[in-house]
Amino acid sequence: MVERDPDQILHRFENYYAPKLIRSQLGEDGEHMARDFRLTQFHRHKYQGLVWDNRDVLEGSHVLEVGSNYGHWALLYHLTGAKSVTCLEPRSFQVDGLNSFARAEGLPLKAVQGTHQDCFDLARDFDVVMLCEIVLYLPDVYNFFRRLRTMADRVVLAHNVSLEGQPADSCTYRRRFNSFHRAPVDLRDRDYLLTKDGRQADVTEYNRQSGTKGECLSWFYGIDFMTGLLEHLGYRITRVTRPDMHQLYGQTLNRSNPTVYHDLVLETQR
Amino acid sequence: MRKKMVMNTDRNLETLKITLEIDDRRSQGAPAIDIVLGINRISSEHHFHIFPGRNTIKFSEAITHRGEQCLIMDIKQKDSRPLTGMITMTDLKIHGVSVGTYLYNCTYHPTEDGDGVPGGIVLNNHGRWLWPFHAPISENAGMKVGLW
Repeated sequence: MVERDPDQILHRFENYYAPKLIRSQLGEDGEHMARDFRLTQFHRHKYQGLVWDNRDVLEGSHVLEVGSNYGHWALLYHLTGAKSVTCLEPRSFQVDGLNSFARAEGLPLKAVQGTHQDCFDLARDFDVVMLCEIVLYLPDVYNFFRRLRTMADRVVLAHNVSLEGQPADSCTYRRRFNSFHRAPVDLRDRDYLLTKDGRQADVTEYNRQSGTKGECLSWFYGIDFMTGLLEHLGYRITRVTRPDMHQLYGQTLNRSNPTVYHDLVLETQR
Repeated sequence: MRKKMVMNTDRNLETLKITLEIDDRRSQGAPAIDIVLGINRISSEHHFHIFPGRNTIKFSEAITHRGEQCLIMDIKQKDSRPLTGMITMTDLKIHGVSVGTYLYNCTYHPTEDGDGVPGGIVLNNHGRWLWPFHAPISENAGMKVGLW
């Protein structure tokens, strides 16, 4: 049964599901995290913007989430009304952990190992594709959105990230070093990405100064650049919102690259 | 939506499970090196031995207050010879999740009174290694350990 009260959804997530999800993914190492887990302001703000405000899109839908991490947002999509959620995630321990959690709890969540490039190999029977904080990492945004048009009826793009002061009609990048998969992903080296813990490089590689191993590019698309590209590809933009990064990430946010977020809801017209 | 205090039931801010991956490049059979660990102060409860080869050290400790904290590792020389550059810190995990390049936030103090080496992860068989961090980790947007 779908809860209609966001507080009740979050309460059930915090007290029942989240500790089990953490244990299934991190095992003994995550025991303290599971026991101590409490929702933070980040979770509440992100839930509000990403999930609750999009419940009209999610309700009754079969959802594909590209880049699902622990699968906690996928779970919240379901608790807020999505009929099922398929999660695409490169790190095998997270894929295995989410699948075992979903089986134990009898939830309609399924994780598949892969990156955004693999979503086109899946059956095209989704209603909604959720892209949560992955567009920043895509080097081939034009082709990705061109092919994505046939995957689902609607796409939620959260977040489109641009640099503060960047012209709205421009695209730019920053070179970064990636030591774990949460950071930008260098898709030139997919085999290395798909190691058990999902890392592309560790400090040992960094110490060896092995060329650009682990280096990657973060892409920043101005909002006019992104909306122009999407409209050119035939998407209809039905909603644009601008979440406050400080509300989301609080005081510990790394401000070395001040950024601006936009969230978009798109219709694919497939 | 209603707000809640972020604090666990035993009045600690959070309890951290720390894993250190340490590579000891001395030859097999070399005597163990003693290390003592703790957060903000070393604790005899967290006393371990490092042997030649790859070492995984795990311990848990409660954090009681918000703000700056420091993971401390004291290396006790047991071998009569001071050895240089034999131990490498290869990874640090919190709750099983690697902190990645945040490992380089550390400082290594080879001696009590000398200058520290910022980002020093190659250590001798003596000295103190410090790794500062901001708690609660569960709210640390830089490290993103947890359900982010």
